[in-house]
Amino acid sequence: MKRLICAAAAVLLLAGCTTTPAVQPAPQPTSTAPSAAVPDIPRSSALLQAPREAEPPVSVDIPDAGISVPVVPVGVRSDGLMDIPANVDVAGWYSYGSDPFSDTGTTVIAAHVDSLEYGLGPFADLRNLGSGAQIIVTVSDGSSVTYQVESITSIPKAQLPVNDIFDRAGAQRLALITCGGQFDYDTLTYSDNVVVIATPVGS
Amino acid sequence: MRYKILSGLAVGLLATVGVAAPAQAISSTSSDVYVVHGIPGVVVDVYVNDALTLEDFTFGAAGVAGPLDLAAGDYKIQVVPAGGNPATDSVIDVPAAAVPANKSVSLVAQYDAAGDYKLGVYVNDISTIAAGQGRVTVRHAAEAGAVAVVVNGANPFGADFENGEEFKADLPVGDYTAGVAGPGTTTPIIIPTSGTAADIALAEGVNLIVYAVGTGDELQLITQSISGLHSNPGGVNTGSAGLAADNNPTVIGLSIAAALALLLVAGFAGARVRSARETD
Repeated sequence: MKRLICAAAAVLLLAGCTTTPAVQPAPQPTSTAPSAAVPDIPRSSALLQAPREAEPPVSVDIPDAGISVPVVPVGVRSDGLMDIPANVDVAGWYSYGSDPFSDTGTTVIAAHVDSLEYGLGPFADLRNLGSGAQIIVTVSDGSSVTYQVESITSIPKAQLPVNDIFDRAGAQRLALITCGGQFDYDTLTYSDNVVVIATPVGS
Repeated sequence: MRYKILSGLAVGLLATVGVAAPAQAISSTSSDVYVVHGIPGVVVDVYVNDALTLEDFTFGAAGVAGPLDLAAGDYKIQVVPAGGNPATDSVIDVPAAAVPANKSVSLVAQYDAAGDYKLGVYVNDISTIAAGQGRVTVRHAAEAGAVAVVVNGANPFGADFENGEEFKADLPVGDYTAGVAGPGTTTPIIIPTSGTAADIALAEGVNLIVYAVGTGDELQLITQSISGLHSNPGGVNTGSAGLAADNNPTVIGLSIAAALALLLVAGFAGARVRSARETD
């Protein structure tokens, strides 16, 4: 896991991307900075509150590519990998992360690109999407959010920057994930993840 | 090798949106410090090293303050009734409360078991929580003797606890009922209604800290939650047939016949395939 993160960080650096430093400079301790003004310290409720109810995506539609797949909530497998519906025609939404109506974070939806049982799946076409292609994610109450494709990247699976992709605190965005790259016919696995990043239209 | 299939208007791929600053500003020299109001019915001012730091701090709906990023060290903490003089009116006066480095700490204005005011100092567990789980921490900060914690009708900790003690556990996300009962019993004696447990929805990646506060005949529950402790999946494995591979010997629009052939292979090696899919 640690190696994964290091590798991902290295890739981000190579890609010329910037990340926010993990450690913020510490403000002066109160012990050395007495001040006449009362500091503005955030206060929150101590009353028992129900957490926000998730709005689970139920479908992903990409008109340009003729893709329309139902979506079901998924979690993680016992080995720690994201759970993926066996049927290539069904995508899984990472239900512990953000949904399209969360204030922050990435909605992550993944599907098998293929399987021996079901053949080639619709997410095989993700790699052919054009810039700005629209992706519509509909949630359980029927409302939807439209995204436009910002980038599509093939990333070696071991280098998938999971902490970034499954981010819950940053800006709202959508990540569609499937597999691609080279196929290992011995282990029946692909070398890469194909990751589509899309941002909400109008944001 | 990582490569871009398509790059649109924005420059980078994944870091284009940036990662938000961490909720915690904990470092090797400082800690996140929360102040929790655990004395029902009074409004207080809190002084830290003689400086008024929290004014008109109320119990309940705005009863958790922080986090403050405090350098490790000793801090003089005084709690006075709102508007009072710390030199003469303090109800809690701790000359040197030790704040460690690299921790999350809750300072709780609370009752001790005998009904006197005290400053409870608790270290919050902010270690990463397994996917699909949340953490419950229960703290006894009330004027009461030993009590039992009751979750879904049973005491999951198998023991009673005293004022100043805590229990914690990581549990699958979901809805629970929770309450505090007399020692060795499981009938809640605490709000919302005596005999009724509180409904608690445990969220993923959150340490939900539940305090039993108040006095013996009027116990109450208050909470503090620390989020952002979730872990992420280790990866995403999304294919097992090679039909979309760059090194696929056939073209991508693979024929159904080829797929059937693969299915035949799969038939022979079915067990192996399934096991590979489970573990890859």
